[in-house]
Amino acid sequence: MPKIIVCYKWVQDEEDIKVNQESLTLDFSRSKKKISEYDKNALEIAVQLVEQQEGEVTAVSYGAGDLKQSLKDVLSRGADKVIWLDDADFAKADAFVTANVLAAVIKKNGPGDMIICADGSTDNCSQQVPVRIGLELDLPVITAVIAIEIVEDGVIVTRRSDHGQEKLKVCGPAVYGVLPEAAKARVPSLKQVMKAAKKLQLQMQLEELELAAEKMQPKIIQKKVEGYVMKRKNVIFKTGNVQERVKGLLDGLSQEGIF
Amino acid sequence: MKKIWLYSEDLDTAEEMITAARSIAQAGDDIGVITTSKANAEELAKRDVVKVVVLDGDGDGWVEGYAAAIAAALEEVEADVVLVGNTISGRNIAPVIAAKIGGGLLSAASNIQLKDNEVEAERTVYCGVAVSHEQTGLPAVITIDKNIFDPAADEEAKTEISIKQVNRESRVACIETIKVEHQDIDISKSERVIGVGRGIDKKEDLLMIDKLADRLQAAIGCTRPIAEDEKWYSVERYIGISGQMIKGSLYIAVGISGQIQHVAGVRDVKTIVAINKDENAPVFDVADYGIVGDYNEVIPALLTAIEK
Repeated sequence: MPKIIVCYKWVQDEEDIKVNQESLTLDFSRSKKKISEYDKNALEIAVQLVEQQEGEVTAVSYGAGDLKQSLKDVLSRGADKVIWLDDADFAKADAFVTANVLAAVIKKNGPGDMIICADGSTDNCSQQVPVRIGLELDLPVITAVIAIEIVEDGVIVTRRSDHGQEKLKVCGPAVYGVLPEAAKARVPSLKQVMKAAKKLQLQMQLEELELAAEKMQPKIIQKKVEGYVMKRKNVIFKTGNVQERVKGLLDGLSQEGIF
Repeated sequence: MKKIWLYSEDLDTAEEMITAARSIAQAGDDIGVITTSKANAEELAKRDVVKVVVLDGDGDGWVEGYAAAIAAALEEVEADVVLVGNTISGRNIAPVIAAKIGGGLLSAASNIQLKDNEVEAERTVYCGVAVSHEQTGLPAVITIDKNIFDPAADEEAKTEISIKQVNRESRVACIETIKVEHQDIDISKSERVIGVGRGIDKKEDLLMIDKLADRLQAAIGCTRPIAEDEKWYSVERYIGISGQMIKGSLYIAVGISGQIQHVAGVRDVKTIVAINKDENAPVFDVADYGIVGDYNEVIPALLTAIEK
């Protein structure tokens, strides 16, 4: 009966962010927030493990003032309860601060048997939060995980390596950074959405964590963010019969020296 | 005078990191190398660096189990900057080093500038929508993608090698190592690539893609759902910010809508071509040339025209 903690991040949906082509500023006015895509896969693998073995999945998140909007979705996706902490200064938090806060929340509530995170988020993608959580909690960390199997005396993990795959055996609690391919995220059913309304939502305050000031001091300063603009020719053939459109393309490619 | 150190268990990556270190170093700065491979140390010692340190462990596999030992060695030498390849193992080891030496970690960084008391670099954020300009004080750890810097060549130097015995994380045991060698082609090194997306109706249609690839001497890649959901190709073939980043001379996107995660993986390709029946597909915004049309008509017509 594993007790599993899953960390998630409430992020801007990158598909809807518009870049101003002249000023390179980002326009978030049409972008909705979502649970970071890879965190949905991390939550799914935890929920599947609990569905097989019973147990409990606790979702944990640290975020900005609008974090509350995420609770219903994360509970609909199968978490049994959610512990959340919003912070007006969240925008300044880097991976170091985020991991310190998440680790402190987990410590207060008990680390359980496993802590599952995505290897990275879809917004900042610094890919270091799971490792830093493990260090804070003095737990081993296994990244690039693609499968987790709970056995009698521990956990067998399959993970990608730079040369193929490795199978590792873990004894005791650990942090797992999982890849998206580990589990395809579900689309919550109406029943799951209804059930979510009755689940426990526990809000915590930063003060309760009694973190040293140094642990809330970011190591990385973001100086500016600029939209990435690709300059392309945009010669699109949309009229004429297919032979004419294909000829247009091949003429273009021969000018490029490709044919 | 700064101490720039680099770590990789992989020879090619370590050689690339030597070049990266030289690109940020100033006269008088020292460059040192840490590796977990004795064999690589012999080779790396032929490069003109101040020292090569080998951390000799008690077993093969799961090199990340030595992360704490690597971090402790870098703390001992009082490294100002540590460069680590942005590989699977590097992404795990780099944050451990950063935590141990008390520094920030700039991950998958480019345009790195080493200043007196800080490092500045650029990072891709929002899956490729934007670039973040970031700064961190020293000491600092930086991970760098493969294939950005050329590997440092043999300079016939005779750098001192020191060997240190270390132990691996004991709470995790490596029970099996599965080497996948050349199971699939490395599309990140292909000059021409055809990308396949969700717009392809059925698997049989891949036959015409194969034909086109054959004629153009191109490799075939795909989008993430094609590899992960449809499983038409191995996950090593999916192109995008979390998959392969390609940079050849030609990319042809067939039935690909142009999601930002995918497009970020082809941004360094010289010429991008899109074939899609939806003229509003975002892929046309990032294409040099495009054909609006059904691939069932366009690909055969393209094959016929190329034959001529």
